[in-house]
Amino acid sequence: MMMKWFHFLKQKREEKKKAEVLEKEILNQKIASKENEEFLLLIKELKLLKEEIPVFLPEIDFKSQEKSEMKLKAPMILRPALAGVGVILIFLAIFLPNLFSPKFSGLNKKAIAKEKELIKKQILVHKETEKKAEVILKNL
Amino acid sequence: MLEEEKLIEKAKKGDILAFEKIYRKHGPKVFRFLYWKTSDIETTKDLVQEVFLKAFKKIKSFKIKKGVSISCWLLRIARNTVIDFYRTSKPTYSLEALEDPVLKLASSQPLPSQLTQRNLENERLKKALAKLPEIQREVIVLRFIEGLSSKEVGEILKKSDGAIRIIQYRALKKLREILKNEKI
Repeated sequence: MMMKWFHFLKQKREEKKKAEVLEKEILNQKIASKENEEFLLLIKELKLLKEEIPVFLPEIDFKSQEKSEMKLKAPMILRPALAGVGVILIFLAIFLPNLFSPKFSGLNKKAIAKEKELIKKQILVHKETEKKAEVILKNL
Repeated sequence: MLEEEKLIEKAKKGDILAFEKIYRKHGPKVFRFLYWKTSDIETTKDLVQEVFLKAFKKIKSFKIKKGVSISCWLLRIARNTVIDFYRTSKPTYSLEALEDPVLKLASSQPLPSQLTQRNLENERLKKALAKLPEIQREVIVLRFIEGLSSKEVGEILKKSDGAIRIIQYRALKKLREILKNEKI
């Protein structure tokens, strides 16, 4: 197993060396081995394939593309604004009922005080009429 | 500052004419790279358009690096676009379309009687290229057909220089073997 592993590593190292040598020879166009000579011939043939591919560049209207992008940008600005309005609405939906509840509303406190006073007055009136009724009964 | 860098700077500032010049200059390279992958002119045209519209939108984010040209950036966009194209259009493939595009490219050429010796050699090479694994074929196309440096190829394929050199060596070795062993 170890032997196999060492053999594999050795092969890898050799391959790396050969690849590096080939790269140098490609760049310098200097041939040192028969193998690389074949590779260089192959590369020359490959270079000729470039002319084989027909090129048909499509007409692209970049100006209209820019215009459509500008149109798209306006809603992009509106998005954060809409999000802000949404947050405010959610905030109001949560806190609005509480703002008008008797616990938090100053107006309602006044109303409750008035209500209490009215009730007290009513009780007083009721007591006064009771007293009057008692006086009338005694006089009878 | 080089002329191309000036063009890029202008394009970054929104100069459409400068971007159109970049398109005219690098379009053929992108077209050929995509054609090697699709082997269909109409699909390649659509993909080229998609690539350059993406590039037009993202040109502001492009940074000029030493030893890496704008063509690398464009070819990387092209590679990602073609990967997305095959990923999204996979379920609608016919059996014919599942055939290797490069093999299809090789077979879509004129009849042997119409070919000259040079063309026959090219046919042999194309068929041999079709038999290489995808990554090896990409390295061969970019490195030798398009003439990019190993650093530039590494930038496009997201691999180190060393890895590209090894892939290139293996690809050439395999290509030579295919050409020797099989009489295509």
